[in-house]
Amino acid sequence: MSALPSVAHNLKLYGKVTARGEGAVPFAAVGVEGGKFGTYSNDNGDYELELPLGRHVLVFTAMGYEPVRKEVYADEKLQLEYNVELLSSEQLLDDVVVTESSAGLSSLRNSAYNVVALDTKGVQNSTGSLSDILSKSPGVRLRESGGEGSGINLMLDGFSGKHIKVFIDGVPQEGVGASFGLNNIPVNLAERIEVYRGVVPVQFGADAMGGVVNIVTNSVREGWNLDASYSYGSFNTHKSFINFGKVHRNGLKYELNIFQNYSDNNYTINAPVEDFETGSIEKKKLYSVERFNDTYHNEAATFKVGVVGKSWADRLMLGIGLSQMYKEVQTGVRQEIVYGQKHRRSHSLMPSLEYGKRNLLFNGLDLSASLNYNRNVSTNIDTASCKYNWFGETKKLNGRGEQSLQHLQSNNENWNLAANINYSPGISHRHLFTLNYLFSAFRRSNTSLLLPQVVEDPIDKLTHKNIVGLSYRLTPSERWNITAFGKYYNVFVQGPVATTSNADEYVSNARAMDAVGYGAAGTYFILPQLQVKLSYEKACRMPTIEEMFGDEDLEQGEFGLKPERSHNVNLNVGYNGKFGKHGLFADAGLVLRDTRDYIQRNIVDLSGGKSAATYINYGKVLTKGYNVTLRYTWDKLLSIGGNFTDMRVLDNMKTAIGSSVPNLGYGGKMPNLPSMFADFDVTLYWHGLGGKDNMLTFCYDGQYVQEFSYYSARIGSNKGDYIVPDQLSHNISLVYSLKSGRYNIALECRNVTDERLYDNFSLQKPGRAFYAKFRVKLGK
Amino acid sequence: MNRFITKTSLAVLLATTLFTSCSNENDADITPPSGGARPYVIAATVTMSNNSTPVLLTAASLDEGTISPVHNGTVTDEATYWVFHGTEYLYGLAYNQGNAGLTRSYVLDKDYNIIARDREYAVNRFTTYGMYDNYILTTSTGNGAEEWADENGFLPKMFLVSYLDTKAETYRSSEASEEYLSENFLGNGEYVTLSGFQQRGEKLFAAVVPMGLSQYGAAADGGKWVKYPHLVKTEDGGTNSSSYKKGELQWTQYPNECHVAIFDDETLTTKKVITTDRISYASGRFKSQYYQMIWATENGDLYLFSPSYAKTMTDENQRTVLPAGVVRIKSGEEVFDNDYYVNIEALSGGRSFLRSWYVGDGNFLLQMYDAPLVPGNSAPTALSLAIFNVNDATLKFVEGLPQTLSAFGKTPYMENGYAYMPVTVTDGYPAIYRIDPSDATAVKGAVFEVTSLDGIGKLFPR
Repeated sequence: MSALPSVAHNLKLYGKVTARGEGAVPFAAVGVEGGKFGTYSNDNGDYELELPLGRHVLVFTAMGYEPVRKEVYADEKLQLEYNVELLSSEQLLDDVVVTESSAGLSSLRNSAYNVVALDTKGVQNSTGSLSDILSKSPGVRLRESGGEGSGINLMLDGFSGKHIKVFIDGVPQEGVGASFGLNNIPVNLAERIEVYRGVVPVQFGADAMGGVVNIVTNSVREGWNLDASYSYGSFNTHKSFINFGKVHRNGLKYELNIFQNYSDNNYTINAPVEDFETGSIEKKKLYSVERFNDTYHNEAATFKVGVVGKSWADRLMLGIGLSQMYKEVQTGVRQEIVYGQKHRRSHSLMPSLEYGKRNLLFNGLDLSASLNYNRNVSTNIDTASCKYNWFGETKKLNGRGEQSLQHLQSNNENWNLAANINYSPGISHRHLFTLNYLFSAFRRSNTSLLLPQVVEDPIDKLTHKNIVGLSYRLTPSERWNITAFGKYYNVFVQGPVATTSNADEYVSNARAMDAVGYGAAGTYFILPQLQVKLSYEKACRMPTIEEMFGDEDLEQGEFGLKPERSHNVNLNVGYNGKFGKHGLFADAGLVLRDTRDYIQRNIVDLSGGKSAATYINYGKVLTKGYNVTLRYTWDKLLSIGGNFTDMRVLDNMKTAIGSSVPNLGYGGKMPNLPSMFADFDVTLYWHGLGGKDNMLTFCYDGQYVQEFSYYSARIGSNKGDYIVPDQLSHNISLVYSLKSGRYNIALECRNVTDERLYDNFSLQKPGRAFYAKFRVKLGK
Repeated sequence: MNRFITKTSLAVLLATTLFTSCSNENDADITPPSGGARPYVIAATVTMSNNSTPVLLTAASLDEGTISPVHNGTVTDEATYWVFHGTEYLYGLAYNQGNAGLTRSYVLDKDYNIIARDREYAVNRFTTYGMYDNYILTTSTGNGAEEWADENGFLPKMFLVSYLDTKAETYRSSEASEEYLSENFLGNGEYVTLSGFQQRGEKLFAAVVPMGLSQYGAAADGGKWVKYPHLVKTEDGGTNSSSYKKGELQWTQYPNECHVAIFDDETLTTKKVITTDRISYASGRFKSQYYQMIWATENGDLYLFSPSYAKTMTDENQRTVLPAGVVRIKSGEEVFDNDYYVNIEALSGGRSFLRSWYVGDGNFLLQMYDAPLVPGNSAPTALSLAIFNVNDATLKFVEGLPQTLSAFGKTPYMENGYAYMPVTVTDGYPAIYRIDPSDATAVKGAVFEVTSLDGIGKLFPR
């Protein structure tokens, strides 16, 4: 095939083209940018190519695989071996290559975005959920209100969970419900988690101002695999997980995931106890009491079936997901307030369709699309006739309902259609155009089940969202690339609004709003190991369904919210080098966010003296901070490292609300946000213990959070009363893996020192806990 | 704080004099600290950084000075109402357990520091509170006992009564009992809400607001209480406190009468109801709030004010034809005084009022609507004040309030015949205005660098 003119002092380049987990790739095109030279690999994947002296950029492409670019210097050496491993398009939907550093955390190489990829390989034997892994990422803080299954709030650079959108394999997870969330999906489901901070590529069609979390699932690529585990631990916690997947030679593929979590969450906390004799709570008399109405369990199953590697589809998968959850509610927003019977239930049905095709119609045009529907039914039940205290004693109430009488079913329906088109003319991948479109529709209706005669709300709450993104990436050389993008957001909301102050008539009110965002990102390799990234986005976040309509319980919606707008800037410098047996990974990031019309959750008085959590737009917020990640590895025996984040979220509004006088909070920290936190870990590997392919892993990890104030720290002289204190917690785990990870036994101790831990004011998290996990991983 | 004290030492002197002159037998216990007396306690809220911080501040005077909450005062939990029980305790009443936190009480120590007492209370939902001896009494209208359910599962409405004993530091609630039925309270089938309590001797007077027919009431005896069938709701609607249910008849069918319940004591178990058709129900309303409109003067006369809020009703059968007015129950009597009636709208140019308070010497402070009430419309803003004198039946609008006024505080504080009213403006921090009822003038007093002033009172240090 090679039709090269014979040139003196040519470089002979040769090697083998393989695909990860699949072996040799025949007929892979090996091109050189500029188009003059080229060849194809043979049946064994081998190729050979002669090139004149100088610098060349090689491009390896093959049908169904992600192209790989490699810069080579043809110097005096006359022969150079270069082997290349391709990833199938299914393995990688986006155009990034993960470069692994030895300990789970890595950057997405070549990406100009502020992104880290968390490899779950090292933690698949742990008993945690995805949220536990996420909390070991720079700039990320997860706030939990209690034990297993409790509410979580994911914070990225000071932005709360609502500013961050979650995707699974690029499919938006809006409206999936509480039974299929980050805090109950087991780690084994994911192969890696990508965290994009502040500036988000258009292929995630989202108005996510704070960032995007994309969970890349552990999908079978050839043959079959089986991953099954069971864990048991403190507070009667049971978790199990089964994943089975198979790809047939004819391209038929199916995959089943089943998982379950159960916990009594009967951990001990320190709280004052209401004395029913006097009707009072002695706030200074703390008792060690056990939580008794906090049982949580969820069960979920997903099944996907389809075909891969067809001429008309690289991937076409039809999926169905089913999940359910039961959760008891132990306390109100303060731990002093105890419930003994209040609980929630939730069921979800999640069918989906995914399609992907490279070189659709003509070379260089790639399409991926997904359609999913989530139907979630959640029920809040508060019908008790008595109240409870922390001793579990009861007293008859003079009405029903511990908080307020309720048996309310909310039906949530969510449609998401996402389509992504990449176009890259030629084989060089020098130019890449991406067009992304996302449509989502959400509808909520309520039904009261209190009376035998079921009554439904006459007016549903409805949201439609259209987001279009277009980007262009220029990659002039292996050393640098630059991307520019624009996004258009349109949202339509509809819900009931009272027409008179007597609130005797309600009409359906609708509102549409739109916004435009844009940005750019660039990266440059100063050295092959040293990378600089700079990115900017004028980001936008439309108010969420919860913010506009509440959750029908403690969260109260606000219909008139405006979209948040923000200028986000990231600067990152990363180093990833190896010196013999020593490995060093370092990354430093600077973050700047200038936000207007910030939406924050706030507990407020409503009319009638009722209080609830609600959401308001508030002036301006300036976020500035940095994070540092350091990791050192020695051979394959030791890994030590951690992340440190200092993120200041400051009130940047000069005047007070509703008046022209100075805002007393100007320049001060926004309350109720942790701003400085760190995590660190040491892992030791003992290879070959008790057998050649066996390994013992010891891991210690710790987390630190600096104190923060529930209210603004400037007000009052008793601010210590409302402080969430400095906290340092430690976890230890021991994992023994046999036969190269086929069989695994893990023992874990969380919160070794039994610290009193709080992520939210007054809501204590579990103390010391022990877990054991058994896991089998088989496959071909 | 100290800087402020030295700046206003004159005010401190004045305040100390005032404070001693009107204090009672506790005087002997008081030893003013070196920093000077700061007996006035102001419950305020600072809204900033997307957060509302409740803070309790102390002041030497309400007449002058500027007080900042920055590193000053006591930050506390949010409260629905700040209630002073005499000059001993300040209660931050909070309810709806899950959301608002606990009800707390505060005292002033000898150094004029605000100290939270150790006992806190998980208080039931309430809509009205009042004082009776040592109690702070709260009531609301809720569902009755399960066993009272009718064949549809509908429950009759019942009063839920709770007592905070300020001395014994206890809290207790009534139990479900037929004595507390609010259903068919007036004999017309409607359920009622109690709005405002006034103790006179052993007895407790409460204004009664008929609320319309509950699902239970509307369905009772084949709908015999339904006067206007088209008003029965055919579907659920609304949100939160103002939501309504299918089968309910929301708001009263009897808007042209006023009822007062006279309870024998704080148990609210023995009562009689008296009625007049000269005014509409005696309660100020804002959304689901029901403001007190029954007040006792020094000699034990009770005055009832009706703002005729039912003029705003959309349906004409629910709209009152009576103008906003005042009636009286004379001292020692338990009937309406036929000789006393004043048409407030005739004095005000057709304007009604949102709230009322008794200042002293027969003078009432009224928070006036800025325009007449109109059927089917939302109530207008209420950004002016007037002094109504019950003896000569005169109404004078208060002069001297700022042009940039945006809101009044929830409750004024009365002292020495003056009303001290918190005023929020769009071009400055909230301030307290001293209103002199004799000439209906307002003068700017102390300024607080906060967002809103939620309660003002005076505590004796102990």
